[in-house]
Amino acid sequence: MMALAERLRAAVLPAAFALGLLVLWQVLTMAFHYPKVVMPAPTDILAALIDNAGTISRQAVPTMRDTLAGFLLATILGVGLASLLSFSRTVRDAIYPLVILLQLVPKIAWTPLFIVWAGIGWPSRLTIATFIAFFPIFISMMSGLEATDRSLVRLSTSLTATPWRTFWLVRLPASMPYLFAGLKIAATLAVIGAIVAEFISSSEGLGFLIQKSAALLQTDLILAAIVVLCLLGLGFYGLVQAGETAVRRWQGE
Amino acid sequence: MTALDAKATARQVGLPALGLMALFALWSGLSNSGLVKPRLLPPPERVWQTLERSIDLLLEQAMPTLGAAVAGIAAAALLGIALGIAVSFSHRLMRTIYPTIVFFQLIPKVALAPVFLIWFGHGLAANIIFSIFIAFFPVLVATIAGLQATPPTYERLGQSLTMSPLRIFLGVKLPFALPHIFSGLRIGVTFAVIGVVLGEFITAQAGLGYIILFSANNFETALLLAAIVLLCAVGVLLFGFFIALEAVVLRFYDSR
Repeated sequence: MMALAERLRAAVLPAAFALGLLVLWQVLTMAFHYPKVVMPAPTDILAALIDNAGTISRQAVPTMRDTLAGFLLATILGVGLASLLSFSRTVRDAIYPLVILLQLVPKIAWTPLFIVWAGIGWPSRLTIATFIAFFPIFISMMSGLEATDRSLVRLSTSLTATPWRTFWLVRLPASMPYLFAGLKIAATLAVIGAIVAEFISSSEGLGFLIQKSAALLQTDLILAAIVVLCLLGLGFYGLVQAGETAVRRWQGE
Repeated sequence: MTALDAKATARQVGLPALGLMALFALWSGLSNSGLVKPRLLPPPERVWQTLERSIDLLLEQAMPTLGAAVAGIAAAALLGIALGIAVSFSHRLMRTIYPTIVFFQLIPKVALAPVFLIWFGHGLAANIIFSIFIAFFPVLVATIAGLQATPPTYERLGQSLTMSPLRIFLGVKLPFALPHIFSGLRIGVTFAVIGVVLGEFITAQAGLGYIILFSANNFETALLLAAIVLLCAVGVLLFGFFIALEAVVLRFYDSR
């Protein structure tokens, strides 16, 4: 009983705060008669969301497609490359510092180059989402594979396990918590990559809709599109978290 | 230094250098042999020539980018650390607003860039404010997390030694929080640069982001890569500043 009341209190205060912010926003815009172009009220945004539900959901499809495809591709590449490097200390020492160095560069800055390379269609947007999501996955997978308990690896080797079996049975399971930490960062970054690519050159997607509405000064429509984008992003994040829970349970934790 | 250490160091420096050389050789080979059109990927030496030739232009355009990023991370650091400290004084206040902060941490904030331009006009001011907005959240979250990282026994020890809350904060909680705060600042400074470059992409008036976008539109790939090189320099400069600051501050605390 106590536990329930405690949990309820933990949920009520944050919810009340978020709701309070929304009410404050609504009251301020109404009291000071802000023009809708500058600051639409939450109800204006809701109205824009309902009026343009068709357009927004149509534009959400390419954005989510590029985000999901980029995320999956980045996961395959990141996990694959990290796994390959874990087999050879020499190759790892030669490549890993370079990846870390590359990771310091603001990756958004490469977007126009990818558009030069892959055109203004979906391939360039997919490439950008993949590129941005790749680094956290690769780096966290590397740290996971390296953080594996050395005595376990040695035990497995002395039990005459092949390097492949050691990888599959010892290193890979041990790196899962690290991998999922990286996947969660990558889930948000993939959305950002797809959106930025759509900002710069696209004729479809939520990023395009936001840019177009900005040019037409339809601030309510921009914010309505962003609300949908946030919901999709959070849903995507939740999906990755659910994946983590499932893997943990499967590993018997 | 033993022979073994020397060998390990040689490996740590030599192998990445070898990898870098292989990368440049591959790049040069691809574009000089014509496998990849030089218009898409100019050879490294062309990028270097362009960098030398256009260094005045690039440095001139690097100034607004660097300036806006510095202003962005400085303001975000002050705001994020101050608010993080304020929130941490009340456990209930923290529990109330923390989920909202986490929500902001998770949503794609870059999507809001066009809104900032509507609010603050197409200019340097909008870029700086957007950069503050993006860099602020990692600093805030890290500060809150850091201030919670103090082991409760240390805090209780301070209380039973009748230290004032302020002295407990400065002498106990802050030292425990500093590594967290600095890791937040390192994330924040990369975000600040991203915010500025994105703002420059969209407003397209000045800065390295503008040069990158402009040269992409004109297929001047060598200039684009030269601008990215300079942007890397800006990023490394800012990142290095915070690494150095962390070393100085942590040494100051260790020496006491």
